[in-house]
Amino acid sequence: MAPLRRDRAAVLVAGLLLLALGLLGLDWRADTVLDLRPTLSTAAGQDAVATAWFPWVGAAVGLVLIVLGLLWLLAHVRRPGTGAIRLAASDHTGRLEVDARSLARAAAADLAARTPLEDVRGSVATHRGTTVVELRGRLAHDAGAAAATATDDLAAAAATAAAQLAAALPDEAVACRVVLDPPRRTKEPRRDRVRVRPATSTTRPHHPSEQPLRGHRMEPKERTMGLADKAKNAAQDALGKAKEVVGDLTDDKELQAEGKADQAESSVKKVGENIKDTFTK
Amino acid sequence: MIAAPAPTARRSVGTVAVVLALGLVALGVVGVRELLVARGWAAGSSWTLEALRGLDGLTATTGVTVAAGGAVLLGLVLVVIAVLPARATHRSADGVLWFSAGALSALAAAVADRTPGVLAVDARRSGRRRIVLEVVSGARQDPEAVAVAVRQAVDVRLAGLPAPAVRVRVKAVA
Repeated sequence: MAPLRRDRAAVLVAGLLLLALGLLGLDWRADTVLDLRPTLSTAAGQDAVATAWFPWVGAAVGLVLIVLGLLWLLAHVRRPGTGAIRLAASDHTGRLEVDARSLARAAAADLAARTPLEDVRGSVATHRGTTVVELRGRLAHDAGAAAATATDDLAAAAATAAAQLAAALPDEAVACRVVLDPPRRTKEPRRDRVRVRPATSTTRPHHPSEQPLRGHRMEPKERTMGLADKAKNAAQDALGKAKEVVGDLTDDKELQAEGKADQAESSVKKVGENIKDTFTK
Repeated sequence: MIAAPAPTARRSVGTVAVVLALGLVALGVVGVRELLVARGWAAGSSWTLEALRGLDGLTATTGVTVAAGGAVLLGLVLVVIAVLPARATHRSADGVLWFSAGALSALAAAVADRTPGVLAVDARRSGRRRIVLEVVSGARQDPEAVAVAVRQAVDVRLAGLPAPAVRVRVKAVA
């Protein structure tokens, strides 16, 4: 009998016995169903215990109970097992076996590399004769955004992992599941948000959401540097445009080209600034 | 590929079974002790005899009724534990990728947090199938419009996932 079924049956029997005993006790007081004697007499039991054969029978039954109990306990000790799966390609020249746990670990490492998941672990279990490879991971804390924008990617990565495992074990009854748990609770500040507070914050009432409790606050120096760069770019862009216009008016090809080059350079810098902005947000 | 079974919580029937197994061993030890004591191989007196003497003359007192009530309750609990199936801890849309309720609410909160007009998000779960997103919007934003935008963003991004019912509550900054 499967261990789970045996446990269920044993717990059910114990529960029903307790229930019957309890109901008997309640009926003894209520005296509604069974006509029980008002006083309990254990004289017959005491006589039986006092006989010469009782200790021997008690010891024999006791030994059986000890052995049964120990076997039952042993069934609950997790045995790691070999984790080896025999491949159908085995023949008289040799056996072909694959270590399922190594396979699960490799699949877990691959999944961790392709998705914003942390602590990805691979494990193998047997469920009703089917080998179940489980890849279990947590959503990364600051990769919430990435995961949110790429839930399709997550599903695709999970499907790929399942397909790879199926391809590695073509003849076997192997099921794969990718299990996602919430991000780990951490006290580390989040690094994926920027809060900029106005300099004269005393003029406005505070709201809890405005407090820069979590995350990274942009330092004033950092902010002015970014603004200075942007101002310089704008100036270069304007100068370039002016040179081009003057070049057009005076038909000066060299000035025209210089103006265009200035504008191009400023737009390249602008793109760079935008990228920087994107990454600091 | 064979469909994987749903991940489930550890069954409490296993824990109860271990306790019962220990009880069985203890009962066995009492049985063996009877022989040791009766043959004089160990000092002491028979516990079984003492227990029977103690129970002799017992009447249906209030204590007995309370104990019987306790036995009925414990028996019912054991029967329920034995019969109930294991609780599923994760949900899946495709049978391969399984999400815990916490993972889904973290995803929903991350999506809401990136919606324009949202300053802060707090995700709460009510039950395993409901997520309440408490959103703080900017002072100049229309809370209704932000709520609609958040709901739309969550619907779009979490499409195809076993998304639970999501409720959005918006509070504007004063």
